[in-house]
Amino acid sequence: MLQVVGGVDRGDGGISHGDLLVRLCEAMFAEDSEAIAEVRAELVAAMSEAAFVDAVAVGSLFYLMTRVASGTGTPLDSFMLEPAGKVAELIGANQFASRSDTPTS
Amino acid sequence: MSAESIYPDQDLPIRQEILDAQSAAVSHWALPGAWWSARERLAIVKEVRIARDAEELPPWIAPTTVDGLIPDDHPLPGGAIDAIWRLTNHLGTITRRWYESLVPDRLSAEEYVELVGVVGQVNLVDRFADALGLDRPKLPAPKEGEPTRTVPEGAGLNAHWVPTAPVVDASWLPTDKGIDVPNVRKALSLVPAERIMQWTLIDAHYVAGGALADNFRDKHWSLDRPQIELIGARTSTLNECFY
Repeated sequence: MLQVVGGVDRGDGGISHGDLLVRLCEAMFAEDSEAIAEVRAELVAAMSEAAFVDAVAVGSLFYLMTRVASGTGTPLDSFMLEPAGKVAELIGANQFASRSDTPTS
Repeated sequence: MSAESIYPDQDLPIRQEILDAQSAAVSHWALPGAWWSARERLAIVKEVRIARDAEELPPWIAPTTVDGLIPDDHPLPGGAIDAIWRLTNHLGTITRRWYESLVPDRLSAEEYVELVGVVGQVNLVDRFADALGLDRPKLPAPKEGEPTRTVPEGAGLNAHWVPTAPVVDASWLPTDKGIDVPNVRKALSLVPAERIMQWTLIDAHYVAGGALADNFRDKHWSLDRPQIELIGARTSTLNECFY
């Protein structure tokens, strides 16, 4: 799953319809209406229209959460410290500008 | 704004919690805040939309330095405009140094925290509408009244760049499991109304009570929890958010 989160692997990450959900995230980030329309059709066929709407809702929420976290210098929680060290390397997050400025305590 | 009127003339299966929460957010933008008036808060919303729809500037160019881009009679101070554009379009370039170039010289910490809350909410609502091919919600008229200018008791610098305050209400569901409020949920606590709106939107769009609230194998509406976490993780990675 982590390679899919980091965009290294194009598979489903072991999650049902994960490949389609990742494509939706990427199309939303790119604000590419054609790509959104393409993946919308595939998601509706594979899952349901409600699943497409719910997936958009979850994705949209993270445009709030990321702005709150990166905009306020939110420190990692104590329960995140150990997994973060392993996960960050796998998904390429150690290259983010926010990595050096995210307090760890 | 009522839940029925936020997205008129559509028949998508949008859950009522989402309609209610987004309607509450839109109404919230038009209320006097703690540090910005209703007119200024609506100007923040409009500036997010302008920034998203504009020809993209490189992150090192502040919009207030571009001749003719920002009207002279803009209701917001230049520091707010520059912050809105950077938070909206170049989140991955935000650093503590950038924050300290704004606060306190161009914005107070309180003004900045309220602005981050509103900017984040608008990004959520508008990106939701855009992805579904819906018109972005119309904005209500600003409500009369002055900002409250109140700082919550116990506020101060802790582990975030911005000051935070203790979360004293009982809205944190997993409290009885002995789990502290996650830091991202404390981030806007200097301006409690923005913190509460963030939590309202989390509960409606994600998992009520948050990431720690239930079993990872549970299903929510039409998605499995692993599918929800994949969407959240991939979107956070695309936005280059280390947290």
